[in-house]
Amino acid sequence: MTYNNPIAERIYVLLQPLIGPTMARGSLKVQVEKLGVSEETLSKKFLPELAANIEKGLRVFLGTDKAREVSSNIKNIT
Amino acid sequence: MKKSKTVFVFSLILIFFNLLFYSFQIGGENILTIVSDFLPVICSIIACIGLNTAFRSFKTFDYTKISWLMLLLGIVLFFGGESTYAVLEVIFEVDMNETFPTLADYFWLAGYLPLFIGLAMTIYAYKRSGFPFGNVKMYSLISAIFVIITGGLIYLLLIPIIQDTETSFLEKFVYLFYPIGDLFLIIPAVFMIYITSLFGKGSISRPWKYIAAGFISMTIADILYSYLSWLDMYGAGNFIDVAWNIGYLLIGIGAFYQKELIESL
Repeated sequence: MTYNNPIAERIYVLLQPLIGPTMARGSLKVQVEKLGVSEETLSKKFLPELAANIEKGLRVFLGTDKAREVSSNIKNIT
Repeated sequence: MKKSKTVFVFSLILIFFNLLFYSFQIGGENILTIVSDFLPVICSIIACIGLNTAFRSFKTFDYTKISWLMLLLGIVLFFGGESTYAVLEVIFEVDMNETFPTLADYFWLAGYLPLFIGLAMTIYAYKRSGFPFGNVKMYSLISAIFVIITGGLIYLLLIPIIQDTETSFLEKFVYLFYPIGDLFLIIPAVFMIYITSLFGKGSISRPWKYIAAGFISMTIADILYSYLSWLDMYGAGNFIDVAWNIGYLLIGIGAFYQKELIESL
C-alpha cells in the first residue's frame, strides 16, 4: 500500500503500470496539490477535475482516445 | 510473438549481418557496396512501417497524431535518401565520392524539418501536460554539455568547412546543414531520453526510449559522416553506417512498441 486513502491508492494502481511508480506518485502529488488537497485527503468530488488533468498529461503519449479511457477509469473509481 | 519482439530479433540479426560483412568484407568490394547501400534501405523501411503502424493506431487526428505524422514523414524522406543513394551508386554506378551533393542529399535535408517538428511538438506538449519535468540542475547539465559539444563542432568541423576554398558554396551548404540539423534533432532527443527516464519502467515511456536513442545514434553517425565525407575519408563499408542502421531499427522498434501500448489499453 502506497497510500492510506483508498481513492489515491486506486488512482496510483491505475497509473503505476503506465507511467511507473515514481511518476505516478509525482504526478498524483502535483495534481492533488493543484486542487488544494493532499493524496490522503483526496475525495471523490475532486475526481472529475483530477481525471481531466491527468488525461491532459497522458494525451502526449497515448493520444486523445486512450487518454480519455484512462481518465474515465479514474472518474469512475468508487 | 509480439511484432515488436519479432522486429527486435530481426534487427539484431541485421546488425550482426552488417558487422560481419563490414569486418570481413565477404564477397569483395562490389558486394560490400551493395550491402552498405541496401542495408540502410531495409532498416529505413522497417522504421517507416513501424511509424506508419504507430501513426494509424491513433484514432483522433489530434496533436499527438500530428507529431507522429511528422516523424513518419521525416523518416519516409530519409528512406527516399537511402534508396536514391543506393540506386545511384549500385544501378547507375555514380561515383558517390566525386558527386556531392546528390539527389539523395536533398531527400535527407528535407527530412530534418518534419523530424524536428515531430520531436519539438512532443516536448512542447509534454511541458504543457502537467507531468513533472524533472530536475532543473539536470537540464542545466545537459545544456552545458551541449554548449561544449556545439563549440567543439563549430571549431573542428564548421569553421574548417567554411574556410575551405576548394569546396563550392552548394557543397559547403550541404556539409554544414547536416551537423547543424543534427544538433536540432539531438537536443530534443536527449531531452526525451531524460524525460522518459523519469518514468522508470512505465510502459508509456518505452517507445520514446527507443525512438530517442535511435535519433541520437543517427545524429552521431551524421556528424561523423559530415567530417569524414569532407575529408574524403568516407566510403562503402565504413562502420558509421552501422550507427545509422541501428538508429533506424531503434526508431522502428519504438514505433511498434507504441502501437502495442495503444492496443494494450
